[in-house]
Amino acid sequence: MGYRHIYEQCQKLAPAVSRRKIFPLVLAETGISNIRHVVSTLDVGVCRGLYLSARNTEARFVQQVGGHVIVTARGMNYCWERFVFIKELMHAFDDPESAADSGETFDSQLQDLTGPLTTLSPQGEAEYLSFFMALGILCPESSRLVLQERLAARQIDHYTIALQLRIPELYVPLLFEARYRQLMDKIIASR
Amino acid sequence: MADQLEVAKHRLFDAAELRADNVKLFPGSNRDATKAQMAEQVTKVIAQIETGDFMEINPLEVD
Repeated sequence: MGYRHIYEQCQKLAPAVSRRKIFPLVLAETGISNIRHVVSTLDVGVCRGLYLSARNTEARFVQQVGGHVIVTARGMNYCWERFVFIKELMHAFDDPESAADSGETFDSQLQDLTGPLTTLSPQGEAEYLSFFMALGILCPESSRLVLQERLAARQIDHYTIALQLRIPELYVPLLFEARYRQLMDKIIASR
Repeated sequence: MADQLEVAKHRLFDAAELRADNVKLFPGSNRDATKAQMAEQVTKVIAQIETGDFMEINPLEVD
């Protein structure tokens, strides 16, 4: 169960796969009662969004938005907002080992996000894999294979694929990298 | 700038603060962004939400 179950259910859906369908599946699978999505001001050059799970119910922040929240930056277009939300939603599947739950693990995660891609901490690896987890449900495999063929035949370009999937064009090439299928199989087997 | 990191850690993890058990970030477009800049964004957005400076989207009402 876990991500694998969501992935399998989303394979039956046609793009653009809707948040209305993905969101309740994730809540049911994780047992989290709600994850609020709020939009606030962030410098998109530095950070486009975040996922935050907090336990102190007396904290003003938790009283405002609850214990599980996804924040996305104001002013992003529809595809960016959608992709950032779904990528952050994938962190509902983080195991305790990959959670950033202390100053030390948060520091390691920031180091991985800002430094060279070498050996990642469990937190940094969760950040990296969450992009592929999001792509795996926003682009069902049958659609990906069709798009890959059409791309190879030069019948379609990255921008048109982005419009069909309603994701940022920036992430379209990831779908067709040689490692994509292998990485997805690894994620499905482990999460 | 290292102070920004310490402030974010305090807000996120101290017992009297959020007591976060997970936080994850979506990096921005600037590949040269620093740890301190990211930490600053976290601290800033926590303060904004505390003061009600946000709008909400219902994921069940958007595609």
